[in-house]
Amino acid sequence: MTKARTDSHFHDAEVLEDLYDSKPRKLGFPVKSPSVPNFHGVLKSNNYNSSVPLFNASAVDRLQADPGYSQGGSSANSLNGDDDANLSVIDMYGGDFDSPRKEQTMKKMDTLASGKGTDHNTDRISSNTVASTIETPIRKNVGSFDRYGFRKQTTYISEGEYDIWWTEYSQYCVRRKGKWELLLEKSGLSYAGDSPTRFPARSEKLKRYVRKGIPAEWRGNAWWYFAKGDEILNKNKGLYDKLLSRIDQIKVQKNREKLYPDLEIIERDLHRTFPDNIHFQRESFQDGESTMIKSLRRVLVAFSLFNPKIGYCQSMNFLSGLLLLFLDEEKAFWMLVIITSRYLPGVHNVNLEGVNVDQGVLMLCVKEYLPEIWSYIKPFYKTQNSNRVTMVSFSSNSSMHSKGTTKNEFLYKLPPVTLCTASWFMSCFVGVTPIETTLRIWDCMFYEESNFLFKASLGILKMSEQTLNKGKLHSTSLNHHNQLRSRKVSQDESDMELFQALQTFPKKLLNPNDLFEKIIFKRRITFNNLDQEEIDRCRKFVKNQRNKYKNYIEAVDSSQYSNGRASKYDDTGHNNGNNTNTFNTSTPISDTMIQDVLSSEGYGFKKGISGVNWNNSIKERVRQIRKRKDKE
Amino acid sequence: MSSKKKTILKVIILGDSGVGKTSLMHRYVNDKYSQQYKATIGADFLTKEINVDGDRTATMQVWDTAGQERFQSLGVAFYRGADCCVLVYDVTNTKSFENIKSWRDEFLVHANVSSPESFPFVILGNKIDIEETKKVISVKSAQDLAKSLGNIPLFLTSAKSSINVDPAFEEIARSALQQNQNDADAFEEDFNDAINIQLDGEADSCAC
Repeated sequence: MTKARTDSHFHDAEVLEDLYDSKPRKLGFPVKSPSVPNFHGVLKSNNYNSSVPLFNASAVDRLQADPGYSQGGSSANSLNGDDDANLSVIDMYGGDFDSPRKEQTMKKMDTLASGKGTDHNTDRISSNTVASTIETPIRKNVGSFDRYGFRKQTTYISEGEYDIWWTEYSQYCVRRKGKWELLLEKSGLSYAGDSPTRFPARSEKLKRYVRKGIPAEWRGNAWWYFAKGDEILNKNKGLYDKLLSRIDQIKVQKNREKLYPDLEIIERDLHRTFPDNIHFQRESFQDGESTMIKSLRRVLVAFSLFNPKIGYCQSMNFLSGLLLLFLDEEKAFWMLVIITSRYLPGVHNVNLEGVNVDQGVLMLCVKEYLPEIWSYIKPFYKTQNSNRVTMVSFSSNSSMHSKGTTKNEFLYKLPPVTLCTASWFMSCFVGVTPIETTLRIWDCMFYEESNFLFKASLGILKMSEQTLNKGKLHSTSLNHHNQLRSRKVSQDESDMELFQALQTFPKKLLNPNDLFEKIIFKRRITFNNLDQEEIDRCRKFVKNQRNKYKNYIEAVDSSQYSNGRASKYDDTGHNNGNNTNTFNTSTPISDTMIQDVLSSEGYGFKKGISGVNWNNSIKERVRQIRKRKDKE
Repeated sequence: MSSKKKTILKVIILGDSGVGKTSLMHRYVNDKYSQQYKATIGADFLTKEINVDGDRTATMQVWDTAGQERFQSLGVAFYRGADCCVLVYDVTNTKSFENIKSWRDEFLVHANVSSPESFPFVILGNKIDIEETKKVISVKSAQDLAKSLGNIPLFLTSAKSSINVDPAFEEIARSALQQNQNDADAFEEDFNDAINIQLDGEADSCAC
């Protein structure tokens, strides 16, 4: 056995070694890929490396050969139903699900399958008493589900809307696949009708192809290839099996709940991952839990053992769930490792500091590239005491703007809207945008790395601008003291509206090309120049600033407590040079600390030689000056 | 409070993962229940217009949060300005009950409310539709806890079967409104201070 070379991405050298030293155990459950019964032609039984565990290539091929297929009365059925493999899955639990006999069986099954810990949802069938108010369980109508098994209808999109859109988009997919096939042929990469496992060398052209969407049935392999999955897997051969055998040991361990508190949380989330997906449904398989749920559990538990620094963090269930639809279990596991270490470092850690850093970076980008949106988002800070409004204003026409007294405070006290955008990053848009849009973002994430998540976020924010303008959201900026009060109220209101808008807007992004064609491919949109280097630099900067502020704010806070009332940040910026007066507090805060924070410069985005960014910032300044003049 | 401004009541729902926070919020706001809620990441919120004092309306902003402990570090920003905090446990889950107190303490630390002693909380013991044998938290121990935390109102609810959800949220709305008005009054007092300070600042700058 080769010793694992510890990759720089991992913090867990010990774990790796530990696992490598332990003897392989006999496994008590099927380890290999999720073998969905009757899913012939897809899984190739237990072939570990079959890369398209659930997503059926032939179904798509057939569909794409005849995209018009989906039109007409029984379109629903033909969309993904008229296919052996898919049909077999659907058939297994299709039809008369509501019969009482089955309900009884299901209930029994639920109880059996759930064991401990999932009690919150298990007696779903015993709900007759309130049946009137309970949404009917998903109808097992094949046509109601998309090609991945997700229910087409969501709170924001009707099945009809989906079908109309899909008629067109599926044709687009066919065209794109044709182009991909040509590209592969030209590059001399044969793939014998199956999903290719190798892809052309990186190039602008390939990047464009990826941005226009990887053929769905090739996705698993393409993601794996672009994310360099083989590298990590080869370095860690057999490790996943060892993790699984450790899970087996833990299963019989006493007080495992105490030793592994993540287990219970994972258990609770298994059925709350894709309740709207056929492959993840509790009732999908009559002989126990669905195979996908079992795979999901193993991947998540294995990960929690593999990386105790992260353990299990909610949102990883969504990442793993989506991966499992495209990759076999072991590869899904390693891709989860790659996402959480390479693309989203620290984001899922116990303190979620990575989330805060990335949200700080996003805010910096918004401020730089989307000043209009920033004017909605920019924080209007209250002091600790919620009803005392003194302010740290970032108002662009305020004189203290340039003094930088609190220039970067929003990096520490992130605007409330980041609670919403944080979930975009944590789950990489799974459940945030409709699935086809999410998949297109994933294509780019694996090819272009994490900077694409920022681009996609900025793109969505930009698109939502209209929605924001429609609302009376943005109250004209109020500078006068006697308007403070109404400003507080309007700030609360606009925070709420902003959050609501950003919470719902992405959910309506059914057509990925709305985002890609209108935003991502537009050269004149300056944030498209953001590259990974810039994002990495930004992350470093924000991390730094947050550390400084953390120490500083903690000192301020503690002094406030000792004063018994909130101190006021007098940020009028008029007390030139006499910075200590800025804080109305008696507790000494070290001068160096204050100096350190107050002297901090704002982040300087790289100015492109093309001058695009530069022009943008000039434009913004001109805008500010003009605004100021208008006021006077 | 004489203001004709629309009142916004901000309510935060806290509790362990899986106790039914999302379900309770949807039951109250939309009168719906689904088996299909996904785990909440970050926070979600819904609003509901409510009647207060007969003729006036207020907007209740119900914030649903992620239950996993680590998400608390994200919550800081929106705890602030809360008018009421709802603490939820699952009657079939001992740990979720034991954590009620720490959820309250966490909230107080982050929300920095003006007077923690009087800040309104409401406790909800959810999932009472589940069969008796699975329940592990007795009514008595729940009442004891509520009392020990300062006579917090307690409701035993079922989002699924729609039991006691409306009465609970009526109480939540009532106490949130009360808190909101207290804060508004305090603001009036404080408001004048704010002006003075800023005027001082301006005087300084004129001098130089």
